[in-house]
Amino acid sequence: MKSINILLLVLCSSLAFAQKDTTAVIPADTAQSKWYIPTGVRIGTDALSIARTYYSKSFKGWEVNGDVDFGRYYLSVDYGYWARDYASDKGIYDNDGNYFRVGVDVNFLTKDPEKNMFFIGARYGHATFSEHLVVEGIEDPVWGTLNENLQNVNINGHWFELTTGIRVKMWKFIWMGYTARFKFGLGTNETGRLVPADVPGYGRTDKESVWGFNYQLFFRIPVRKSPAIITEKDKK
Amino acid sequence: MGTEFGLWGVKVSLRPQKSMKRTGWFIFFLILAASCLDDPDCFQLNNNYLGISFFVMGSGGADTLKATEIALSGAKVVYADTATSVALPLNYSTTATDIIITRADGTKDTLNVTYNAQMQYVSEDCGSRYILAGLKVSEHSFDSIRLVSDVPTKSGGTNIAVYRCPEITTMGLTLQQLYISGTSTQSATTRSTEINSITADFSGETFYVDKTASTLYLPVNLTDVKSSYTFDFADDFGLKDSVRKLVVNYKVQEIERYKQCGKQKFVDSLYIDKIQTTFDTASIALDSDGDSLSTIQDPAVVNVKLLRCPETNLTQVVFRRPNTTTTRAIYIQSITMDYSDDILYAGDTTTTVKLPLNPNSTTTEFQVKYTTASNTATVTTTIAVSYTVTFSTLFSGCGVQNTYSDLKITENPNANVEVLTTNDVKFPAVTNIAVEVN
Repeated sequence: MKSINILLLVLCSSLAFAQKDTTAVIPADTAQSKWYIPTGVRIGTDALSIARTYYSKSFKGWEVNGDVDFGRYYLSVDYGYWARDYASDKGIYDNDGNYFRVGVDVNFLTKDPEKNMFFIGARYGHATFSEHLVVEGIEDPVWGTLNENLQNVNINGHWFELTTGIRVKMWKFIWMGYTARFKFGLGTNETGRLVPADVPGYGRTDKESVWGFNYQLFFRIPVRKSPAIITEKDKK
Repeated sequence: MGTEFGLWGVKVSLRPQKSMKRTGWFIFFLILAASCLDDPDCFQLNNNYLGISFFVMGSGGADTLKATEIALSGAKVVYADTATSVALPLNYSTTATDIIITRADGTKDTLNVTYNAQMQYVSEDCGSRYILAGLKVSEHSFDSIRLVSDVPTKSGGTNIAVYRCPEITTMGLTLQQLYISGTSTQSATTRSTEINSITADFSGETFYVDKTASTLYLPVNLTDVKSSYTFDFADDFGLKDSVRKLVVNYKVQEIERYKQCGKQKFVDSLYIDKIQTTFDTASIALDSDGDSLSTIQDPAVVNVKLLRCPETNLTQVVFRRPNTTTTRAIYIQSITMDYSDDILYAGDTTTTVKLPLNPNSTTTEFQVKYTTASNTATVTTTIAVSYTVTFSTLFSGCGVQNTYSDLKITENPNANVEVLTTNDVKFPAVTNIAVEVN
C-alpha cells in the first residue's frame, strides 16, 4: 500500500518537474514586483460529497473549498460536515462532525496564461465529532453473550495530508478540478472505551494512512488583473 | 496554445489532448484500486489472546506444561494438554481475568492480569472488534515471570514468559544398538526395548514396569554421589542375562543459583562406573558440539548412552518356493542346534529366521521341524554349515568379537539347502542361506 502511495506521488512530481515552458514568457520586472499580490479567490465545493449524500444511505456530507494565490503558492482552506450511519445485525454505528483543513499548494504551471494549475501541497486537518456504537448479543464461546452501548461526545481528531491535483478553467469564472489526498498521522483524544472508527474529513481509522479524493467545482472571483504574459508568438 | 509538460520527454498538455486524458484516467484508477484494498478483513478481529510460554530458569529451552485444566475467571474452563506455550482468551468485557492452571500432579498456579479493553466499529459486514492493550500482571504464584509484550494477540505469540526453578533430579538415558552398515561404517541407532522393570537401588522404587521404551528418565540420588540401577529387560538386550546393572558417579553441589529458588542441589561431573556396570557399553552422551553432557539438566537431557553390542553370529535363513526367489511362510514346530538345548521359534509362522552359529566351533547343525499350509505333515530339514571364524575388535566398548565368514553347506541330502552369494555373516544379519519348501 505504501509503495502505491509513493509511486503516485513520485509520478505526479515527475509530471510537474518535467514541465517545459515553450509558450509563455513573463516580463522579469512584473514577476518580481507583484508576485505575492493575490489575483483572485476561488470558492468551490466537492461534487463527490454531494453525490454520495444523495446516493449513499450511510453517508451525509458537504465540503466547501477555497484558495487564494500568492504567486505560485496558494493558501487553501476546506471546511465540511460528515456523518456516517451504519446499521446491520452486527451493530449500529453513527457519527457526525465538522472538520477543516488548511494548507499550502505549490503550482507547477506558473507560466500558464489562463492560470490552470497542477499542484502538490500539504494540509493540516482537524475535526470535532461525536460517535455512538450499540452492539447487542455478541456471542463468545468462552465469555457468553455481550452487550455494549458506547459513545464519544465532541472529541477531536487531527491529521496531516499530502495533496496533489489540478484546477482547469472551464468557462469564464467556472473552474473544475480534483484533489487526491494522502492522509496520515491521525491522532484522537478519546478517553472512554470507544475507539473512533471514522473521523469526519479523514475516514477510517484502522489503517496508518488512507486516501481521499475530491472532484471540485469552483467559482473564481478575480481581485486584480494578472500580470501580463508575453508569449513567444507575441515576441515575433 | 496551452502549457505543456511532460513525463521524461513525453509532451502532455492541459488542453484536452489524448495523452493528458490517459494520464488522468491512470491516476484515477490507481487511486480507485488502492482504495479497494482498504476493505477490512473480518477474520479474528479481537486481539484478546494472552500468550504464555513456559521456561526453566537457566535453561534456554522451553519447559513443558502438563496441565489438566486451565480455569479463566471462575467457571470458564479451558481443558489443556501438554504444551510449551498456551494462548488463553481474555475476558474483553471487563479489564481483568484470573487464570488458574491445574497441573497433572495436582498442583495449582494462579495468574491474574489486568488490561485496557476498548471497542471499535469495523464495518457492516464485520461488526465491531475489541482492542486490548496495557497488559499488567497483578498477581501470580509462579516462581518468576516476565512481561514480554503488553499487547494481547489475535491468536498466539508470547505476552508473558513464566519461569520455574530448575529441579535437578532426573537423568536421561538412551538404549541403542551398535551395528556395522556397509563394509565398515560403525553406527548406533536407538533401540526400542521391552522392559520388565527398572529399579533405583538407592530407593527401591521401580520404573517403566512392563513398558517398551528407547529413552528413559530416571531419578538420581541427591543424598549420595552415586546412583545404582537394576534393569530387567524382557528381551536379553544382547546377552543371555537379561538383568543389567548401571552405576553412575557424580558431584553434588548445594548452592543458591537463583534468588527465587533459594539453595538447590546441582549434579555435574557425571561418569559411568565401568566396573560395576554390566551393560555391553555405557558412556556419557555428547551434545551437538561434541561436548560431554555430564551435567544433569532441567528439562532433562540424555546424559547416558547404553549401547548393545552387535550379535555377530546370527545367520539369516529364508524359506522359499523351489527354484524361485518367492518366500514361503512355514509353521515352525522347533529349531534346535547341535551345541545347545535351546529351542528357537517354536510356534512361530515366518518366512525368515535368524539362527546363532556356534561361536566355539567352525560348524553348526540346525534341525528345522515345520509344516506348511499345503502340507500338514511335519517336515524336518537339516541345515549343516561350516564357516571360518576370525577375531576382531568391531567396537572398542565391545572388546574382541568373533566374526563369521565363508559359509558352506556340509550336508544336503535333500538338495534343498543352499548358501547364497552373501556368505559372510553381517550385523545386522543378512540372508545367507535359502531353504526350498515344497
